[in-house]
Amino acid sequence: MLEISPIFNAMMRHKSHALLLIIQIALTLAIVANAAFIIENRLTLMNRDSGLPEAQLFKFDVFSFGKDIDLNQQMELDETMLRAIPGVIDAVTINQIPISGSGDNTIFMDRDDTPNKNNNDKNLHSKSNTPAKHVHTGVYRGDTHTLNTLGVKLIAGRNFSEDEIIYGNETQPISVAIVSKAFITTMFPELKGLEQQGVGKLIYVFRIPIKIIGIVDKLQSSQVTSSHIEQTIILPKIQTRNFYRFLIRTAANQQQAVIDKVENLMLKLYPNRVIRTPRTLTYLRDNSYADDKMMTQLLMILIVILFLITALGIVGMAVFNVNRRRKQIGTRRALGASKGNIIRYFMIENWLITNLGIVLGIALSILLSQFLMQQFSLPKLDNSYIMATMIAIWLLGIMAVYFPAKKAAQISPAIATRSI
Amino acid sequence: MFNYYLRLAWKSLWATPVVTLLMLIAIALGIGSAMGTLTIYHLMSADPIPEKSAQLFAVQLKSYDNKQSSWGMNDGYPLQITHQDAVNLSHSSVAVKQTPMVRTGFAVQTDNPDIAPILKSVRAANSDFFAMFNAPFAYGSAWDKNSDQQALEVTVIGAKLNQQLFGGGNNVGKILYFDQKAFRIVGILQAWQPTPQYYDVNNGAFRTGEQIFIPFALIASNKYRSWGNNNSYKNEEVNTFDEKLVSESHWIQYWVELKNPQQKNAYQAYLKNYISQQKQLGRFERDDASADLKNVTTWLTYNEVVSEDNNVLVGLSFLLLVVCLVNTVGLLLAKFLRRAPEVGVRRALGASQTQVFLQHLVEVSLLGLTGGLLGILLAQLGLWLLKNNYEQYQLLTDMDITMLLTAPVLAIGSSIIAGLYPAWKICRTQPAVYLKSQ
Amino acid sequence: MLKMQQINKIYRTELVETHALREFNLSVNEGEFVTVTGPSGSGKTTFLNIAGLLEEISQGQYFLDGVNVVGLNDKERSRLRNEKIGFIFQSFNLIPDLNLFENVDVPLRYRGFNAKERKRRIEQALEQVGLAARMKHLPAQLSGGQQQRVAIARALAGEPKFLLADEPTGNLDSLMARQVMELLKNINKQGTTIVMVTHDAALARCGQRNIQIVDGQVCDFSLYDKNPQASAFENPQTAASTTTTAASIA
Repeated sequence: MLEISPIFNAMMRHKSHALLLIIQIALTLAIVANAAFIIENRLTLMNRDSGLPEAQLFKFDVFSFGKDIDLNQQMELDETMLRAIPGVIDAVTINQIPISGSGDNTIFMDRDDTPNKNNNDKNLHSKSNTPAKHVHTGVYRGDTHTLNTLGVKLIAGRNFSEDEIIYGNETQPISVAIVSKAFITTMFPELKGLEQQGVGKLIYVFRIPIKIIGIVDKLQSSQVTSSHIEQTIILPKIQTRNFYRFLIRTAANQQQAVIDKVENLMLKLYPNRVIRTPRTLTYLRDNSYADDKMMTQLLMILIVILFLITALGIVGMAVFNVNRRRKQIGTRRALGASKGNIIRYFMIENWLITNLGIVLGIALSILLSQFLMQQFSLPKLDNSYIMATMIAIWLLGIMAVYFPAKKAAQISPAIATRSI
Repeated sequence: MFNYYLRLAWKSLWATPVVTLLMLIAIALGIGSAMGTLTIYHLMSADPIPEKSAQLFAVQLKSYDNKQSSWGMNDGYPLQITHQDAVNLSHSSVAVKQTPMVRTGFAVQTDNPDIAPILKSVRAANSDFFAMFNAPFAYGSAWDKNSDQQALEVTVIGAKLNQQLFGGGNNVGKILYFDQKAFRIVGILQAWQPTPQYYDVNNGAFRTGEQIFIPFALIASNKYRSWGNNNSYKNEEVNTFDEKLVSESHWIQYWVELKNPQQKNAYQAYLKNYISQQKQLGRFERDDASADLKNVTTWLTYNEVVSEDNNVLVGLSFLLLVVCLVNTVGLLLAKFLRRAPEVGVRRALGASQTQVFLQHLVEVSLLGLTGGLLGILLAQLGLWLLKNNYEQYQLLTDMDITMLLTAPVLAIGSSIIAGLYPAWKICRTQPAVYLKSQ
Repeated sequence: MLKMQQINKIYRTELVETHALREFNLSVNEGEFVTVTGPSGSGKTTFLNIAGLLEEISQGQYFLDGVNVVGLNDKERSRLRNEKIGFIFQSFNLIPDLNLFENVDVPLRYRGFNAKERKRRIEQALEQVGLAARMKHLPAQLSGGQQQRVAIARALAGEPKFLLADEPTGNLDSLMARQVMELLKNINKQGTTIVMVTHDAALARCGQRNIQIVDGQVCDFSLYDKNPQASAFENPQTAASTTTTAASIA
């Protein structure tokens, strides 16, 4: 390592070249570390488990414009027909599809805090002890087949019974519900770890008390960008609308075959309606996460370009140095330096520059991260990304300089005795 | 002299093809990524109706009760208003033009039995819509005020649907069946797609807009459901459509056209008055119940039409451009300094420092221009890939003239910045040093 | 033509000051052929660079063709260099990427002549050195002697009053060296002032006058100096001795 000091001195004689490379390495480190961090965040988001057997699920929308049918009855007929198709595990008419991007959200509360409609005295309201807990919840509405079609697991309680389902315009209020485990922990933090005990608890919406009869392990709502995605509820209700949708679970290898059949079968059953193109859950997931996917892909391209450019920079600098010092290298060889010595000289020179670049780059990474945190809703850069990028740049530097250095070692000692 | 420099630059670039290629790649990648992200940003942040973006206002009402500390957007205003407010506001004549709006949809059929019914999204609005947002008519015109008031079943369709259903041409007067109800076509638009689609950003500002327009009053009379967002702060049970119409559910967009500050003031005064009237009816119970008017550009910023990701990408790709330029500075420096003996000869033969400097700047500019053109190609390729792979960017067409002009300016400008130091360095070298044979 | 008075040239680094020229005085008349000799490190190169306006002087006066060059800016010096001085170097210093025509073109470009005038001068200059037929060739395709002739053509194309030659035959074999010296002699005959730096004593005798530089000063001991009309070429002795002298150049 005694060689470092003369190498360093030689480097300082061509400061601008070294400096440019140091800046380039530092910027590369700063950008790559932050970009990699953003990518990782998005991948984590995209890889969240929805709790569903996604490969088995697809949905389609039905829009009935004919006025000559009883929609309630038709929905029942449709369901029966769909469930009978070979390959179909179960089917349900449902108001929203998980991770599809569009759906219903309602706030549920742990007590009824709506002031009496006849009472306009605001003081009365403010006198009530603690305010009710409000939980943003993704709301699914369906019948007894909902759980089986979604393919989610009950961890406590039971499924709806047929007589609990409220059809069409029946006006009786909803009285029971199945909720996600995350809903319980949010609504009743004291039950964290004991979520099963949530069965039997009452929750409120529109001043109506609803009893929790079942808890599923995991069920995401439709909005992937929402921070409330894990808090969901299933209500035993089939709404009668001329616009409704089906979720269908098939054996994974039967999915396409069922999709191909579905429109014809539906129109054969009743023609005065439009069947929208069926979409698989995989498609819906891709669509919902399209922004994140695009961001990760573009940032990956950015990282590749940066590494490429920086590698080119290191190679260019090394080639330049080798050419500039041909005579010097020849002289060193003539004076007894081995090929290994020459390679080591260039490797050490580059290693020094890389290290200086990395030191500056760490500072820049942190600055860039702070700037991104201030300007955008990005979390704080994790140090491990700086470390990982550092190692990557280090390896890149060693690889990039090796070949020019090896070429330098091939320079004949005879060059020393030649002029020019 | 410029031609001479250009010839020398050309020769020089070809003399070291590998270095030239490396520099071109660096500049092209840097310019390409910077221009690509900048173009997306530029198109997304474009003013979709520059001639009157300052005269069109989205109306927002802080209509919710005291139970919520804040509701809606960050400034406490919901994006949409209730149906009852929309109906009430449209009865006033304070605004020059105004329209409530909502996105809905239905099955569309023609007299032609061969065409299967198609499901289409529909914009319900008042007749003012077309004049307000400068929608150009190919045939016919907007429906009249009477149709607004009487909820007549008339429609205006877009050029694309006209093509799809009839193969184009003037089909004003023909009948279309919407959910089996007969609607008479009164107007057909020319191809029209404001980008971003500012008048309704709820459903994605860069997706294609509706091709069917109907009078807003039909929402209530024909019970058309909203195909957009419905938000409610209130614990009220809404089971029937009629309940929904008078509920506190927010699902209608409302736009007004106010030509000057006086009109804006008058309308603000009107809204203030409206709110106090409603207070007496027991609505708008908050003390800070108020209205807000946002013009088109404010509206787009407010809705974060340009996403945070876009901003991050623009920033990072400009940093990438800096890295590419630093890389180019290094390569140029090496290249130019290797040419020092030649420069020494030129100096001895009478070239001044300025002439040497200019000669090298011309070379750098030529490099920058070539790299920039390659960069534009790369950016175009990137945009094309984006458009074809990501639905949310389908409306981001190609670079406009501004961007096509920006690219070479950016390329040459940044190359010249990159070339300044090497060119300065080479012109300052002592020629005498390089003239001796050693 | 060239008049240097009390010139000092000092190179400064952080550690040392080097007096490359000290109180240097020299006059060269119009039409003279002066040779400059001296040991390595004596200041020959510094003198050449200063004479050729490639370096500035630290102190003193320098008149070139009656123009005081002290205090001129880079643009004015470059102009002067371009118009009045032609350079010939030991290593020819042709630009390898340019063909002969383009090489000779270089000083004319900086002079600002139009295309027609440049073409005329380039053809004339290459004609003069006998290489007009090879205008499109690259320097690498020529022998050393031919390359030096191109360099001379390039120096002549601008019709300078004053040629500065730095070991012009140093990289050439004897035959080629002789051709080059003949060429220079002819040029001098046509009225161009020549100052030639060399370390070769025999070559030094080719001029009308020889200056020796020692330790940055003119060491004025030359016998030729007292007889400015005498030179190795125009020796009043026999014609045969001229031949001998010419041969001794090698």
